[in-house]
Amino acid sequence: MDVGFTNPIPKKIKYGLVFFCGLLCIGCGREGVVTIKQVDYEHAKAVGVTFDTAMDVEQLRVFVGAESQTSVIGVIVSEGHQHRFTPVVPFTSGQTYTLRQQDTVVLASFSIPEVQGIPPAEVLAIYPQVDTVPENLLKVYLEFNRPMQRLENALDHISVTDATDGTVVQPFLRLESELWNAEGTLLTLWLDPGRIKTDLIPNRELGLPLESGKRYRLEIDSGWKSQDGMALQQRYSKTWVVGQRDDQRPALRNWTLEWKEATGKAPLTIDFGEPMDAFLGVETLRFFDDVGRVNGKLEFVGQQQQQLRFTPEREWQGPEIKIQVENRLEDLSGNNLARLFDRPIAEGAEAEPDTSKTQTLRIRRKE
Amino acid sequence: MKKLILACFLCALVAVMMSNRDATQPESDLTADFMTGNPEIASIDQMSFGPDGILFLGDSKNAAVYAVDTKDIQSNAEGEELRIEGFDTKVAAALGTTADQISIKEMVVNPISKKIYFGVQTADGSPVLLRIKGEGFEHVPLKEVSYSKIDLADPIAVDAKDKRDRPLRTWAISELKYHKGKVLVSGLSNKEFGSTFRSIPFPFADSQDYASLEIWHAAHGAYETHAPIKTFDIIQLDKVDHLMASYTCTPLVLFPLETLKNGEHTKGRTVAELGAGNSPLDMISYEKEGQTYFLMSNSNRPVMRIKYDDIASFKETMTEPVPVFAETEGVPYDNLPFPYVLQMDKLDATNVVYLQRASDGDLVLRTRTTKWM
Repeated sequence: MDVGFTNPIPKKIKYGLVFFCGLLCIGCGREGVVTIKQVDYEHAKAVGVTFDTAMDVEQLRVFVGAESQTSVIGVIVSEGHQHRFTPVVPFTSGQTYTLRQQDTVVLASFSIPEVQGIPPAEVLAIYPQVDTVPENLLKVYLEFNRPMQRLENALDHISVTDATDGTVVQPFLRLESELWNAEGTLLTLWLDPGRIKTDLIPNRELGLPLESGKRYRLEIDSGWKSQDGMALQQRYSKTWVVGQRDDQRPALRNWTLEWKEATGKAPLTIDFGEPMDAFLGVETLRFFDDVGRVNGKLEFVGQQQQQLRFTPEREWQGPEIKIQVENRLEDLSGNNLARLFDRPIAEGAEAEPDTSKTQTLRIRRKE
Repeated sequence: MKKLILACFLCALVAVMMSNRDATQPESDLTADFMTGNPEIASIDQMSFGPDGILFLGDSKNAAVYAVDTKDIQSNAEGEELRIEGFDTKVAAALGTTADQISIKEMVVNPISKKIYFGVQTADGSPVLLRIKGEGFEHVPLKEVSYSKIDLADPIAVDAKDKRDRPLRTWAISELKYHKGKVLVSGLSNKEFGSTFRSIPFPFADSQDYASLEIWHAAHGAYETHAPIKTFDIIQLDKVDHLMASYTCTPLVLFPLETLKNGEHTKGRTVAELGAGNSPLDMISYEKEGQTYFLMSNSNRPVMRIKYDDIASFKETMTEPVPVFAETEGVPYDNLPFPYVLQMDKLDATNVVYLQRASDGDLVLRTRTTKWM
């Protein structure tokens, strides 16, 4: 029987170029000869491998490395003696593959070069960005510069240390269904609500996730990779000092509006008097003037998450601006305009307050 | 007389037309509105088989549910007996990579063919659907398939007609099951902590019911809406279908399905408190010796077995807080000696299949007769 084997040393050729590893042949005739022609790329991913052989390709299988006994699922399309194997998912960078006959005899091998030229993944922000948080802080957001892998639980990459005494704590609720945005760049973490709510059993047994007067340090390890295989550039961390409990609903009467110019496209600033949820803040406000809805840019000023600035796309019309605020706007403790997050609920209590309703603020230009 | 003859003629004509229609069209053609192409599924978070080999896929990334015609309708009475060690390594190898580059998100059995399907997430974010074939794997392509799709509507979108204003809400689908013409979906969102439950008629139309559920969480000693359903099943009690929902740390709650109507706020009846500090993963039911049992796998507890009769005979609602942490109350259950069961489904009438992390860290796929469960 004709048998072939390969030179096991792969050549790494610069990313994106045709790649050839090597071939040696023993035995006689062309039957057992497989020549790797190239690794095929699409959108910077190694989506296939092209090879030449006179063999019956039905006998050929592709394997990860030299040891695996499970062949790679894929499709072979042939044109004469040239064949292209396309795996179900692109080949993995840095991985070596073998082509084998009858699942055992190695006829050729090829390697996928490590991806180069892609910048490392980064954490753009850890929210809340403020330094002092209430002891009933409800949510933490992590924002990345590009989509992150979701193979392991995110909490396996995150640690929180009580900086006061150095102990590692676990304040977050572990969810099998993690809350990523569609792009895979923003992760929402809940501090365990069962521990935040007064007198619930987790609260009584384990206490609050964060204790007033202490400092906590959140760290994100650098082993976390983006979907394109790049690890985080560094370890990222954020330290919070924990202040008093926030048991007040945000109230419009406590907000301050500033509309200095009151003409043209003058920006309008809203000071909430306390830090608000970084994302709900910009999602729940809408602006109207005499003509109707005014679109524009809404952003927090600085990192305190306390002041929002709205810059209209067009000039203001009329003497008055109306600001419509959805009740679901929350502060850092999950208290929204309609209810406190932590409140006693008696048996038979009525349904949740309707958070889809809105409240309206008005500001008039001074004559 | 002429009118009578005319009426008889018309009746006969209608009867002939209806009989012709019955002969040429099935009464319920579930795939009639399916299209063929690439549904562009972005993630496979939950799966459930419906009738006729139709596989429902819950896609958190696209906030959508897809119905895919697998055409896998060759009937088998029994599934294959299996024990595959190093399962994740083998799945990864079949996908041309290593175990650290994949995550097995979901497992489900086709009740017709008894074939076992897996939803796998790869490092680059691509979802892959595989099924067991002998000792190996078979790829189920999702790029050129017959399918239909429904987007999960935002229950509290304000000005939802204006896309510019639609909040960037993130959904995570925690469970999905098909039941009597409806796809039932539980999930949670990132912006307001709370449970959402949807009942979506299939074949998909424009409608879907969203229900707000309230439970008596005995461990918490309060009515508690702010808890996500982790897994659920359907149980018939007194000839009425009930949603049996299991929550994070870990009440078991019953809701009559007919009360889960759009926009209505429904209070459930808590029948068991299965211990705090735990999160349920999967729930299935099976019959043995004339008895119906439910099995529930958990993050921090072994598989629990609950008898149907115990649930049916528990008529009260748990109203008192559980006095001791991690102590259980209500409907009794048995702990089966199967810890770290990550995925579980009914294989056939007498077997279950489950994916278990062994004490040495190895991931093992195995079948087991319900005789010993």
